[in-house]
Amino acid sequence: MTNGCKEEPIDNSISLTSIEYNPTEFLPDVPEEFPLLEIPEDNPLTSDGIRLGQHLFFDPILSADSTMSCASCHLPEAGFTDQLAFSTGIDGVAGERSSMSLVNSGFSFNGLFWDGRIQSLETQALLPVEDPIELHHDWQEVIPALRNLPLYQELFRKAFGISTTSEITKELAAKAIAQYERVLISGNSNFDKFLRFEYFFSEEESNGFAMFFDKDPEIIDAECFHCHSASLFTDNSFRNNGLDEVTDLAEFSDLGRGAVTGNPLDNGKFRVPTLRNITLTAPYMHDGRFQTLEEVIDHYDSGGHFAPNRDPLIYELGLTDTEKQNLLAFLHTLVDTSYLSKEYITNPFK
Amino acid sequence: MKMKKYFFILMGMLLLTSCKDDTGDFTLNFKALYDGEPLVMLEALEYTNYDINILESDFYISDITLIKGDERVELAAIDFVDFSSNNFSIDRAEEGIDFNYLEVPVGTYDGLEFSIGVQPEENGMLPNAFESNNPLSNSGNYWSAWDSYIFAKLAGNYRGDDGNLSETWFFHTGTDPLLRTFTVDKEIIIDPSESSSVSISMEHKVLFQDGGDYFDIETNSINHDPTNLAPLEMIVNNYISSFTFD
Ligand code: HEC
Ligand code: HEC
Repeated sequence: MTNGCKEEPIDNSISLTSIEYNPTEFLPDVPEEFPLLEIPEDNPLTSDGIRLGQHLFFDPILSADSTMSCASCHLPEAGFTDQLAFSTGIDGVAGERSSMSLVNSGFSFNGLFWDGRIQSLETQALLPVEDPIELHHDWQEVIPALRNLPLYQELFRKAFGISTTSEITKELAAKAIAQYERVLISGNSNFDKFLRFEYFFSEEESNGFAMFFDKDPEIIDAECFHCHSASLFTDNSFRNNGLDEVTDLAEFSDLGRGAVTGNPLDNGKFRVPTLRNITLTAPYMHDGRFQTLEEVIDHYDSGGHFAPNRDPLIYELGLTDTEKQNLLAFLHTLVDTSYLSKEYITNPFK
Repeated sequence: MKMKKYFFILMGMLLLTSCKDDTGDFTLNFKALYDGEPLVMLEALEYTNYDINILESDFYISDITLIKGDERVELAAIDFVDFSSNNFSIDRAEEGIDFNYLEVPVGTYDGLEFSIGVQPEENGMLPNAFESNNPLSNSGNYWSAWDSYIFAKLAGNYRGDDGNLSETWFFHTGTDPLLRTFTVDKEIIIDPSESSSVSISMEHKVLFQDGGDYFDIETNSINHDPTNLAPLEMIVNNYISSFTFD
């Protein structure tokens, strides 16, 4: 035999062909106003693929001490964030950035993470398992564990039609997690209902809406929509929204996007996060520096701190207390938890 | 079997070579200048009696077309000229931004035309109608109060009371009536053996010309009112005068 160097001895694998493989395409409910959901050709959405991803997402088997799963830092009830300034992994070591909402992340086209350093959900899903400040495990150990469990033997077979357990790989696991993430679609907030004439804004909300979208020359512009543009409430661009005062672009303590592109103008820029479900995801910003939305609004009202590349849209707005209230009321219309009751979304082990 | 295979390869080669013979490549290059010098983002620039800098200058170009008599050959429906991310160093500013158009029908053309902004048909659509690789998918470049794309963004800072370039100015243009078309009136030869190019320089100081004078950025730093298009009309007309080509 010439393939003696193969990782897995053939005899360890179990045939799965007796389990039915009958993939059905899953067509997610994408609200009309949303952009196209672009799905990679080599990872089409199937009900069984999503179901596998859902199990992996909530299963602590992915962490070295079986205490944490993806969902530990991306809690469904918290808009898929962890409500901490800095997420802490299994070793109790905190990272330097705040967890991000995964809602509507299937629509991100400009790189993932606060700095956009990873291109696809498939690539991203491979990382947390081995990240020392996250699940701090090793795929080389996770995969044999998955291969041994009848639950995963069945789920992987149904999702991908593999014929033996030796075909269970981290790449397939990552594909399944990515499928799961693509169906985390939230688009049924009061704001969405307003667009569909199913909800009427209160006067406060309506004024806040006009401020947010610079809709009405009679109502003060808050400029938010340029970056937090509808329908995702992000344009996926990288911007400096005036969080840190620097006089030189090299002085930012976290270079953000600049560390990825090498373009000094990108230093201190971070990806514009979605504002959907924003009331559930405090604290705010990449480092969780603001505890409340009131603080966030005060920040924008002040024009933030000077940096040479602070975005020109960030300037002293001069809002009254009532105007701040109105803006806040509008932000509250972006909450939607109805997607959580859809199939395949929440913890399957409960 | 074998014969058939060779036949296809032969056909393919014929197609390829014939295709190569009657098409050539063309490059459209854009450079940003200020007062005749390459524009580098964030560098202090002498304006009127105060300094400004520029942090953002980008715009859509649409219907990029070569013209030969009545014949029009469209090179692209839409592209986005993004000096904001390109011009971070003098080298990048000198290089400018290239748009490469491949397999353009050979010929001697009278010139080139493009609009600054988005054609009315596409401007009547929303960003969610476009795939993410189309520059029109950028939802941040759409202003619903106008029912229009933002055709061009121009932004930076001016020197405030603290002596720093810390006060913001910005102008966003848009809406169908503010679409302008620029013509490069110059013979362009598309040849299969060598690629040809046109380079367009955009003098940013010209963008602020107001009659014989310059627009006061300090007192009109932001265009807030979606119904007041007058200052923007001045700027979009200036885009046309800001372009020179060789
Ligand atoms: C220890 C906490 C932690 C765990 C566990 C964790 N994440 Fe995250 N996640 C984060 C943090 C923090 C970020 C932002 C990191 C950054 O920008 O550098 C993030 C970002 C992401 C993003 C990017 C979202 C976007 O819009 O760009 C995705 C996708 C994601 N995580 C998926 C997962 C998956 C899948 C798992 C499990 C395999 C997982 N995470 C496990 C903390 C965690
Ligand atoms: C110039 C673009 C820009 C504008 C204008 C803007 N934002 Fe932001 N916003 C950002 C960026 C970038 C971040 C993330 C910054 C970071 O963490 O470094 C952010 C973060 C936020 C967050 C925190 C989100 C989270 O998940 O932590 C909230 C809330 C927010 N913005 C609300 C608003 C509101 C309300 C307005 C209008 C008053 C507004 N933004 C205007 C770019 C912008």
